Amino acid sequence: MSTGKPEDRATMSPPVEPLSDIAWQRVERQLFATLDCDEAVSRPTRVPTPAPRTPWLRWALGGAAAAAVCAAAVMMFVVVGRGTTTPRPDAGVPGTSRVVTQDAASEVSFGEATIEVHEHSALTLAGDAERGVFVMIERGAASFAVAPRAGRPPFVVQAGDVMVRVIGTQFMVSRSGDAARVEVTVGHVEVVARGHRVQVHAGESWSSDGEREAAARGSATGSGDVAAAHLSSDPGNPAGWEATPGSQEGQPDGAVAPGADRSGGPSQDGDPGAAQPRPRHRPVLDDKARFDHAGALEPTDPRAALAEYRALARGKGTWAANALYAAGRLSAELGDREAAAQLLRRYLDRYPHGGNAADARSLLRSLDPAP
Amino acid sequence: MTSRALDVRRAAADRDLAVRCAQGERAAQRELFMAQRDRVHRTLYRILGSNRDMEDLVQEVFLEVFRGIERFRGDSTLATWCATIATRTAWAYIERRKPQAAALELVPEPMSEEPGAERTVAAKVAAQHLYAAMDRLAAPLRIAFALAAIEGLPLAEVASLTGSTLVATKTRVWRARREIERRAAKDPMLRGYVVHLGGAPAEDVP
Repeated sequence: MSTGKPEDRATMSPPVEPLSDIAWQRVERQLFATLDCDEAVSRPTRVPTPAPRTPWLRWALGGAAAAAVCAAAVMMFVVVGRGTTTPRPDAGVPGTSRVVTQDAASEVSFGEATIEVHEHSALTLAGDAERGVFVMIERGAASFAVAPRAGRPPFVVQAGDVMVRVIGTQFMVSRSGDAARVEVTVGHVEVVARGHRVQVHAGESWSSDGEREAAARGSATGSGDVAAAHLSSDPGNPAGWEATPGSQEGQPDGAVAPGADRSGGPSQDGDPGAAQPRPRHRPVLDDKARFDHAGALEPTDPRAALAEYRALARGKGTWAANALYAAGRLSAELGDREAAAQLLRRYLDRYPHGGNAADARSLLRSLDPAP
Repeated sequence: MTSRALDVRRAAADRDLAVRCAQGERAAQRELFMAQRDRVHRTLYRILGSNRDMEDLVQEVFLEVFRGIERFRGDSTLATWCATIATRTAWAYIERRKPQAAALELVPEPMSEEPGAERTVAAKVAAQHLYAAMDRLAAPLRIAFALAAIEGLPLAEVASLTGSTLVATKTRVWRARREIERRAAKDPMLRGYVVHLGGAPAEDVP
């Protein structure tokens, strides 16, 4: 039996697996981003964001501050349990909640807004439906369906340095480290980053990682066409906005593009293509580019890559099939055999003759070897 | 300098750091984070074992630390205070997570050619068996056992971290050990491991 000597424990206690430097950096970054969010909602006069250059940004921060002032009110979140979400009220800041998902997405209904928090994502919500809502994405991605804001309080989403003011829309914001991407399905939003703003309309996307997005888009479309705005190398334009003739985006003065409806009337939200002369309507980031983006993320942030693959797999077409297989493969590589097997079986159910079907079967067999 | 004088100085330094953190001074918060992150992680790891939510849990602990730092009165060291919150966080995690039927990987990793690799793999597998057995324990028993028997903390410190009495802590460790030993009787890998853990065997404790 045991001698009970300390040296026994020293030699036989399970070794503590250290967190990698990258993991610690991630923890630190997310921790302090959340604390910044706390400060933004609990002490609105001390928001540590650089002074806004535009009237709109002042308004947006004011909206966030207003959301904070009302944070004493209790938020009523209805969590539809589709995943392993762990929403909980954060006692430190009244009226805030944090939602963390693991292997499955979850849906949070809040007043007139529905938020789908994608897999392996985390976000903090503050404010309430009456005074305004402030959402900070710590990592991963979330899709929003928000009622038009005309006459309603502000709804602001922050991902890293990027702020998105909702006008009335369905859109998705994803974050990987300091990079953020916004895709709009219906209506439009305004994105603010580094003191510049741009409106992103239905069918368009915006990414802070513009070079990669533009390159991916170019390869996919075979043209030089780019998104509503992307990073440029112009040193005089630090945010990298590329203003398109006919639009006023890229101007840090708060001007609105002709035809753009900042109030987001229902007619436009119901029909994103109507009523607005849009000199530059460009395709949303295509599935291939999203797939490539996820692939590029794999070495450095496999969880974000997995979330991207799974989000893409919810769609249709070749890249959805590829993404579903890739999600299964990556889950297996990450050691999550159960999720991997589930994803691969789903792939084989949906695409029994798909390009990766043979690989999927082989991988599935290796995950569950016959006795 | 005497030990008591050192304690007084450390307590003053802790209080000063806590005040700066409470005022929202980011440099102070980073200082506390860097000073305590390893202990927080170690405490969580000892209780939960290898866990894919570890990063989230560490972050959760420090959020709780910074959001509640105004309540720090210096009755204990900041290190103990952080470890207490880590213990409480692990407890809450155990309580809220779903039962895991086969959550642990019990498949050995591919063997390396390096000397001692077999022993390393065996130790890892044994640790997995140990934590699989601990998964069956109620949270208070698991935590007391992990901190006392695996980490080797004095029972009084475990009692302090869990907010329990010394007697209750001792009983929890004993009950947990008895349960683990019962399982070890059917699991040679676990048995070979448990006998090396510190503390008195279950049958020696009333």
